[in-house]
Amino acid sequence: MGNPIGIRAALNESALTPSTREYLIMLLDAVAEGENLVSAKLMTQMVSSAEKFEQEEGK
Amino acid sequence: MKFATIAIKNLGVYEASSIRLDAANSGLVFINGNNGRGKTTLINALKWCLFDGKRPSVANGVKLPVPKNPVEVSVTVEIELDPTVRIEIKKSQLVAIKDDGTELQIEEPHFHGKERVHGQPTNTIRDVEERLSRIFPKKLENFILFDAEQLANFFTPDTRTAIQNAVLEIAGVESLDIAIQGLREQASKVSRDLAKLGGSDSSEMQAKVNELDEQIQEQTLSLSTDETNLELAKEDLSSTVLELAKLDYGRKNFENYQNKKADLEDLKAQLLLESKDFDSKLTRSAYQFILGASLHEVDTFYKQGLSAGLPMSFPTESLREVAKMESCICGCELGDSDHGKILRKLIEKQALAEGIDQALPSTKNNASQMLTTISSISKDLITQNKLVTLLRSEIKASEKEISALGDALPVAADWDGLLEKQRRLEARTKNLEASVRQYGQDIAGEKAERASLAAKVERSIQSSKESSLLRSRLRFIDAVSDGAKAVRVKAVELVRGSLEDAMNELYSNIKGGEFKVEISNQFEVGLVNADSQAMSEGEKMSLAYAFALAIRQTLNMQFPLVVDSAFGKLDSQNRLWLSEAVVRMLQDGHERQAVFLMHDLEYTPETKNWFAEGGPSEFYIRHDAKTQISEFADGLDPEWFNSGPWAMHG
Repeated sequence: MGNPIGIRAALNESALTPSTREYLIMLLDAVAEGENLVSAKLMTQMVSSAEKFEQEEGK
Repeated sequence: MKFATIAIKNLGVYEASSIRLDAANSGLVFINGNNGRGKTTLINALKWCLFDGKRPSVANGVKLPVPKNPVEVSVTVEIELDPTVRIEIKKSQLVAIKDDGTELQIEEPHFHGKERVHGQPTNTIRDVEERLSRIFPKKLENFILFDAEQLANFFTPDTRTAIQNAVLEIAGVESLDIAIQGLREQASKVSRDLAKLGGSDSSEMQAKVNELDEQIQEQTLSLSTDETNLELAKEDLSSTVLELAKLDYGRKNFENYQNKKADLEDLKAQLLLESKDFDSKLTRSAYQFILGASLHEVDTFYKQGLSAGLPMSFPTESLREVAKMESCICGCELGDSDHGKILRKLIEKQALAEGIDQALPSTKNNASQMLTTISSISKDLITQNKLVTLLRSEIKASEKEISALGDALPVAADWDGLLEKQRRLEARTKNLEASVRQYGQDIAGEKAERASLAAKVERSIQSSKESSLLRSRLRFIDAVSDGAKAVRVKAVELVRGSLEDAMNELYSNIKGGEFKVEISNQFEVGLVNADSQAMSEGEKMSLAYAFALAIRQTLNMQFPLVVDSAFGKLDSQNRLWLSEAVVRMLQDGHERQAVFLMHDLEYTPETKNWFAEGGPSEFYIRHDAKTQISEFADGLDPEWFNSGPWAMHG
């Protein structure tokens, strides 16, 4: 089952950058859907989020 | 969520029996039965079906008549997920009993599942196990199908593990763990991509390319110089070879030239001699003869005329001219022009003779003969003159040929020098050609190496960009992974805190806030300011209940609470606390269910009274002592009224 309340609450309270939070939520959604976590789709999303992360770090 | 019906076939003491739990008004159910009647078998049958636990044995020892042929064992559970949705799960297996009484599994256990949504056709559940795992998390097993006695000690590793599992399940960290594992795989994939790019340093390679470029430029320059030198040497060699060829030709014909020259010189000399001799001898004698004869004839003629008394007028002027001619002939050699003069004089003399002939016919014959003679001599003279002219022409031609031969002949002293020059030039040309070949090969090799290096540099630069990107992605994955781990810790903390709060609320409500519950980092549940080891088993069991109830409160989840030996070693005070807590839980959620399996010393009139507010439904397990087969039945076991608390209660 997995209780999303615990994670969701922790996600809100943890100090994550927007890009890492966004990507972690994507990953958790993928886990919930039973998707392959190294799928091309997720890797593409990772690349996109990594670019945002770079920009965040550059600020 | 409630268990609506439970049916057991050929397991333990049950041959084929079912119990319907949804008929009760409330979610509070008591299934009573003394020891050995099948309470634990019921729990284990549910665990086998819902949590893949160990299946109860087919035969209950030797007491149960067991068919030798394979029998189907099964547990069927109908679950009311909510008032509109029900699922029915059946887990079954074919099992045979061997002669020694042991079991032989004919097939692997398998599931059948159906789902009924109110107002819709029944659907088959495709992946029953997956569906079950979502409804009943494995990690919460111990707090759904609850064995209070087993969990009575909260300080055993097993219990701590169960609590830890429950906390982690509630926190939902499994999905986080999967996500973290996924991040590891992603990082691994990116790392592999990074490794493929190699660790070559593009700046070093670029420096090498630049160095090669310089070498190529230098060698290209040297090559250009050498090529120029080679061309010059080739031209030089070519002219030398040509010169040598000429020399060779000249050397071979030198003697011929010399001989021919000598021959020509001889011929010239001879011709000159002949010409001179001819001129001097022939011409002089001829003219002397002509003049002498002419003078004599003329003199004779004159004398004859005078002697005959003829008026003779002597051509004095002509005679003077003849005298001059004679003087000229005798005094010097005749030139070409002199011949003409002589001839003209001869012609004049002939005219004179003709004049004489007219004047003196008798001498006509003599004069005529004389003229014939003169004419003949003149012809010879002309012929000889032509011959001389021809000879002179030949001499001139010979002189010209000799002169030409002289121009063509080399200076003999340069011959060895030219040969040496040729050898030198040939050697230099060979060296230059070798040098040019070597330079060409070097340049080609260096160009190839440069091209290869440049390609590597390009790839390296590209790789460097890509590796930078990949490293950036790895940093990001690490950051997400770190974040996920932090979230994991935070989620566990939140859940642990929530469970502590829920347990404290339960305790404070029921026990007046005398205790404060704590869940340690090691997932030990205990009371603050209390010696855990000194706690009674009943107290520990109450903590187990508190935890099980707190889970439901924290999660607001509707798991049925099914408890074997429900009261166990709880003292009466804690039994009261439990009853109040359970009733409150059921009152908080109408879809909740608590199923207590109790024996006669647990489910007493007092107990029933405590739970009365929850409107309990009562069932008991009827047991045939002869066949050792049990089955579910409504109400209280009639046997209980014959002894024990119920008999005393009347």
